[in-house]
Amino acid sequence: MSPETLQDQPPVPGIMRVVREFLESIIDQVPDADRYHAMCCVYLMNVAERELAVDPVAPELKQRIDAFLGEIRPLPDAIQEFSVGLREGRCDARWDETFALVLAQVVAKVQVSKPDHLQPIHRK
Amino acid sequence: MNSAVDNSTAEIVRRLGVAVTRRFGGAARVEDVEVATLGGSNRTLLFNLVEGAATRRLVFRQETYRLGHSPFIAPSAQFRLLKIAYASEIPVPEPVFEFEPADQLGRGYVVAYVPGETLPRRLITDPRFSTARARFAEQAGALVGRLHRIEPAQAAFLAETPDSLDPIAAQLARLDYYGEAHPAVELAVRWLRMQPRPTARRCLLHGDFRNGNLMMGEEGIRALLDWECAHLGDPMEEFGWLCLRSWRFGELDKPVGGLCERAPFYAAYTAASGIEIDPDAVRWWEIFGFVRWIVLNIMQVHGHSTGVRRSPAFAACGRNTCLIEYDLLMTLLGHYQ
Repeated sequence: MSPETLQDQPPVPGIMRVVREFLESIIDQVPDADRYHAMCCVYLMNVAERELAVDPVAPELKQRIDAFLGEIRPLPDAIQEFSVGLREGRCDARWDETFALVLAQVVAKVQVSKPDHLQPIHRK
Repeated sequence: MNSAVDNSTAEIVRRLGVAVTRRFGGAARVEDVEVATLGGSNRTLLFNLVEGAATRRLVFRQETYRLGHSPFIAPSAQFRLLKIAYASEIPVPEPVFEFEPADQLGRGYVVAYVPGETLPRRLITDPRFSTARARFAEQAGALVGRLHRIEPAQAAFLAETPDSLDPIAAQLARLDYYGEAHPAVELAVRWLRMQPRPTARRCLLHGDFRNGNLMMGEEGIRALLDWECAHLGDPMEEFGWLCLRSWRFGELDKPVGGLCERAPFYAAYTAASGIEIDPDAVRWWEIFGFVRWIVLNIMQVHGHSTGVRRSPAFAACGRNTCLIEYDLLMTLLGHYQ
């Protein structure tokens, strides 16, 4: 048994991996009509595996957003407030700082979705 | 193509058969039906219309759902545009007939089938399409040029659509409807609002002119498909969309859909339309195009998450959104051209 869970082997990352590896092994045998969806499944399993390996709260990013907004909030609320502030022009005077923070948030998402998409400077 | 026809499709085919006999006579019949896949909001069937010794391969396109704040124009407007484009000798599938209430087929239409290839990666890399690629700049530039020469008054029925009235407001209304917060979209919209807004002439725009919506043969372009995003607007908007990094599929030195460079494409366009390219306006519309593409991906995952139409591809769209956001920011920074 894994020390973090009641459940037996394999742990969730292992389940994700074996499903993905099986999908990858059969992709060339999938009929044309379904192959694109099968490839999307592989992609999504890869995303899920990476997401399980990171802290979903993204503490460093959250700290930056909280500091920018001057208030501590749950991450979804902070991103919502950040978006509203941007739309209303409240961040215009801090453009460079705002841009850097938006880029950091996007990079953190891409690192989970498809890290190969990032330029080397943004890869971990 | 999946040749299997399920029960609900069988009923649709039966009604199509009735619709065909109403228009082409009792001897006309529907044969060799194939179900096309990958339609997000439409049911698409291929079939033969048999009239005596004559057989025509046709495409049945039926709207299957309509979300609130849909970015897509109604099938009836699409059909009208196809007729306008066809009469203007734009290469489009020949419009055959539109559904009527008596057909009990909902909203949609039938057009001629145009064989060929639409998959961007094949068009960009397959040696079979080397001639098509060599001709693309001239053919595509001339095609868009002829499209933009159509008198916009012919498509006045598009004047009140959200994308014709205020493209930025249209995107934000959709984003708000989907209920997602995306700082990158808000940042880009802020950038767009701070720049001088291009105020050029207004043309009939296809609105989704890119690889994937061009039916190609080995000899070149055969038909311009999928008119559901058409609207009236600045002609430079068409190029901001076409030149998005998202359509290059790794061919980054060929910004026009991964198929050619800008200069020969623009030259062919200007020769056909008489309209000069404004690079600053194209850049403005390219940033706008990223915003629009992000919102369209959010729409797809919204449809998936709400259970309206679930699929792995629509789910993947949600996680693709940040890749487009990254390209948008890198373009704003000047790292991507």
